[in-house]
Amino acid sequence: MAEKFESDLLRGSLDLMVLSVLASDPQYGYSIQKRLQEASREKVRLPAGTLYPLLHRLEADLLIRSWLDSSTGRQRKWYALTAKGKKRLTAQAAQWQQYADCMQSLIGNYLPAS
Amino acid sequence: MSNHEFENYLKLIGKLLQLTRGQQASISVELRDHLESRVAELVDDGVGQQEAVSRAIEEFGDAAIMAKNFQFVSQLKRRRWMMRFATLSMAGLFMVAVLTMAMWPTKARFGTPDTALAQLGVTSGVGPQEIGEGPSAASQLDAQMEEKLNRPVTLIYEQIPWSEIKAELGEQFGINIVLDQSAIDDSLTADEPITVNLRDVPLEHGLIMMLKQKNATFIVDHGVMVVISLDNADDSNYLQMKMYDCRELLAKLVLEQSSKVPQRTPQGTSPGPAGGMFNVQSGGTVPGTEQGLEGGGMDVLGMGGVLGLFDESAGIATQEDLLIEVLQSMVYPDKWKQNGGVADARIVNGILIVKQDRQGISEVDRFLQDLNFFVNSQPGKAKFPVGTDATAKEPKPAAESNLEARPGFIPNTRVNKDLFDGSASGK
Repeated sequence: MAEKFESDLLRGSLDLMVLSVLASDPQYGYSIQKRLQEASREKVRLPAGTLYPLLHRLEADLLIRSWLDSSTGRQRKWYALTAKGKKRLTAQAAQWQQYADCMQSLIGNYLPAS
Repeated sequence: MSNHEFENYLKLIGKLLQLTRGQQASISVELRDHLESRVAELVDDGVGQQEAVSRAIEEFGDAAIMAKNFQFVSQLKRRRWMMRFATLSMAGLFMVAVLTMAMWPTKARFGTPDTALAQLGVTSGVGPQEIGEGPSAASQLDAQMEEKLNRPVTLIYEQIPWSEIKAELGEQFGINIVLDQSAIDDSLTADEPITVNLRDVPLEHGLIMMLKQKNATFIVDHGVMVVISLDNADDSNYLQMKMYDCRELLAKLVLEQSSKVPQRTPQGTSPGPAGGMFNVQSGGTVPGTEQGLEGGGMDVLGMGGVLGLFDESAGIATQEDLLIEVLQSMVYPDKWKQNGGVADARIVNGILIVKQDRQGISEVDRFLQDLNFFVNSQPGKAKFPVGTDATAKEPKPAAESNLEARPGFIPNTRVNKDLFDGSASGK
């Protein structure tokens, strides 16, 4: 397993990560965790203790919405992006791009040759 | 599937979170789903059931940390809710305020005649209490002050600085006393010593007499006592306005041939023989008065009557004219506009509006009250007070009141006395 990101590094970007995972289709908690894990090649492993409170906060902020579904035989809570969430995702993604570019130019010289 | 361990875990989180059953169930649903999904995945990967449950729970992390994270979210929600509530409350209050302003009686709204008059330097007096909408706030404050000014007081001071007297009276009666610049210019400074010895006099008269020594007097403005120089008392800026409901009185006044305007003497008074109701003059009718009557040029509001009073051809066409004429002849004639003064009196819809200095207002109060008393003291007529202000007292015949003891008493008021004496004895 690859080395995980430091939690300090993650703190400001977790919201954006979850929003981006939800951008294409509705997900439930466990699938969100799995997707993040896969997309980051195991570098981001959001523990349930962090993920669920985070989802509840995003819901309180009206960035995502949720509903219960038991059609699969098991009660499951699904989450999807709201219009406000989509806007926030677009705005934050642009900001992060600039941030990443900025970091790249600052630290580019110190990166180990791959 | 042995979920016993996991059930305990969920219960622990519920306890730590202090959630209601409903909230606990809602969180449990997704946590249980998460756990079961994870266990199923691990089992698929070949991990034993018991081992899978243990690992899944382990991955969940410390229950206390999860509870703390949830708690943070619920606090955030509560804060947001409170913020929203506060914002809504503020918006609601604002709406209520706007609606109140919109529905407030026009009399009390900004930019109404009351305010306009105040801007012109006219302080308002007590509003007519019969009008349902109630008097203006300023007038109500003034009325409270007038009530206090009627209370008896004993003023015994020997060379006491004015500032001390001011503070003592202010505290005793709960009134605000301020000094107008004009009074200060007249050297009524804080340490000005004052000597006075008055027992059981109404506060108003006590103050008038005390201040008179220092060439000062006072007015009431928005419930505040403003001490001014006596020289400025009749300045138009310091006039007070007062309204009297005279509708019933006016209805009872009888226009007689003998009520027509007499020729004015320079003093404005025409002491006549006593007796008979409202025989205010004895000098006979003015030549040309008949023409005025026939011409019918008087307007019913009495404005024309006021303006035309001293025109020799003017007459008294209405009860309003009559009341204004008699009032201006009897009470400080020299202070009225018609005689080069600044005071004014008009009647609108039976409401007598008087703009006079404080002393003048006080005399008008008394004049109307006593006149009303006599008009109604005819056999078979009920008694009622005219003055609409709180200071109106039970009318008493002028013969009983000590006219000369009143400050600022001027000789022409004697006509009043004659009238009353005559009326009292004649009827």
